[in-house]
Amino acid sequence: MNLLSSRIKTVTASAERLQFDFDNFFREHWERLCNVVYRLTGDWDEAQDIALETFIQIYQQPPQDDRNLDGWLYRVATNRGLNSIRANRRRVLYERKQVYIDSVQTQSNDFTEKIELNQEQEMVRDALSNINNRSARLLVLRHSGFSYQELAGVFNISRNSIGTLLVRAEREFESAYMKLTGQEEEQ
Amino acid sequence: MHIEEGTLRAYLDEELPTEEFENTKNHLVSCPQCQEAAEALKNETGRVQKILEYIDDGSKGPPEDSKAALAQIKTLVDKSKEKEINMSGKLFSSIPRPAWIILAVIVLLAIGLTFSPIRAIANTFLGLFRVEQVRVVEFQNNDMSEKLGASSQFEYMMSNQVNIQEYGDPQDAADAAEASSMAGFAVRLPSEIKQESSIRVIPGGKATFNIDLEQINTILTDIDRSDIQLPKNLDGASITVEIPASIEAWFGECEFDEMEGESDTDSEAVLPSSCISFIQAPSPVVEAPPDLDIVKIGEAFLQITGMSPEEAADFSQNVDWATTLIIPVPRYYSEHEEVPVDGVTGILIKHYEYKTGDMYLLVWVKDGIIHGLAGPGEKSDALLVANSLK
Repeated sequence: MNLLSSRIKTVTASAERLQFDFDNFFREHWERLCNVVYRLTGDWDEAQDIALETFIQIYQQPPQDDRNLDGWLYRVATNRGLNSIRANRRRVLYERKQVYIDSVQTQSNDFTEKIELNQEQEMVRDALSNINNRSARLLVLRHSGFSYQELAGVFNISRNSIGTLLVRAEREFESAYMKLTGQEEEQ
Repeated sequence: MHIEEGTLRAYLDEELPTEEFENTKNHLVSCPQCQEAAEALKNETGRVQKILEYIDDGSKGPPEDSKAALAQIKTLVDKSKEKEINMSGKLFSSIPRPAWIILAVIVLLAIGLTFSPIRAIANTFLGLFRVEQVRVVEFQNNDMSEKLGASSQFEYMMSNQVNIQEYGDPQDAADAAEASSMAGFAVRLPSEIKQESSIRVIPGGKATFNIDLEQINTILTDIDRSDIQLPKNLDGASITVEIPASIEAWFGECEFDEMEGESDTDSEAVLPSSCISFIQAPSPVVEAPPDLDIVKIGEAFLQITGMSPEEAADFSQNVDWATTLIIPVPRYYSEHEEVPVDGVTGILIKHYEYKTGDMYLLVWVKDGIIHGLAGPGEKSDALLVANSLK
């Protein structure tokens, strides 16, 4: 009898575990995920699309428990964000040319400032897309306020190695950025 | 002993455990060299942060309200569910089993990844002549295999017009030596794996079919891709695929369905996380009329994977279709890179999988033999196993 009731308990417990609360998970991560991906895409619509599609994957095939599911979420979404920088590069080059032509024609100061900011942003994103995939995502996530613990979850690595990887990523990034801005490294 | 850079960085970020934090702090007081290093690191981080601030600009507004976004997800998914009901797949059960043997080489490469055998079918017939190298193409249209699965024309073609001959049944082998003599080539197995293994020799086979262009065009219409143009002289071309015997080995706890029992393109052959699979297969040889325009056929294939006609043309021009195995990988859910392995260059695909943990698939071609290794873990895990072949 005892044995049976304990068995029933076990079954119930695992059934409860199966009830993954998607809505809650979504509310918890939606805004943060959009913000992270926006840093990569520079476009809210695109960032939201990427975030939505990543959530849909989870909604369609809910996991048995949410063990490190947030890690997966950011891992996939940032990879997509980075991909979208690469895919957009051609379009951006074209737009940049257009903006330049417009600016010459209008000669507006306001406009020039905006162009400069846009160009800076493009260069940062270009530099991110030129370095190691994981380094780029690590930097952006850290910059978005992720703790070492969270970063370890996103990349499935030990928390102890985050410091070293961040130092490496920063160097890679700075050197790629310098190359784009035409400033050679000092040493 | 000076403080290691990574630790210093974690210290500056206040991310060290209390005890280590205190130790580092105390050490810094008495070590000018480490102080200097910490200062330099701080500056470095400061500079990078400043650059990254450029992309913080959110002038176009915050994301949509989470309630609305959540509702959007549910509407999208429910709509696609309605569609799915109509195509609950019986496709694969109707394809004669030998067809799977013919495709086994490619299909096995797919183990651990979510791309379906359907894509591999297209690949086998359209791209492959004799494999010498491997390239990856990112696959965007996730619903393409479902559409292909729902196409009765495709089903008809696979089950009636492809003539398949298989040379025997799969057989278990006790060890590498026995597998070698059965398969007819030198089988190597990874010595780095300690788990229990099972080895199976898959006999070779041969498939022939004559292309009926009109029917292929109907299939393309079925999958909403009537825009894709195939070369006219493809019609009536006779194609032969000769697949030599190959081996597959499984290590650890593996569970897998027999292919013919698979009834759904989405059926997840969820491998328990300890399962490592390895295949070794001499390249298949595909014979087709010499005047067949492979570049154009390749373009069509690439468009099916989601490339624009321009991108496909560009890619197709730059790939040697006669020697290259193209592996379609689902975009976004995977990363891939070239890695040196077993004395050649291979491709490592890392697939994100939240159910089983991340998986790797490492593919390389050496001495005319395709090697595929799939398992749980990271690049280093893959390379350790791959480089231990004996």
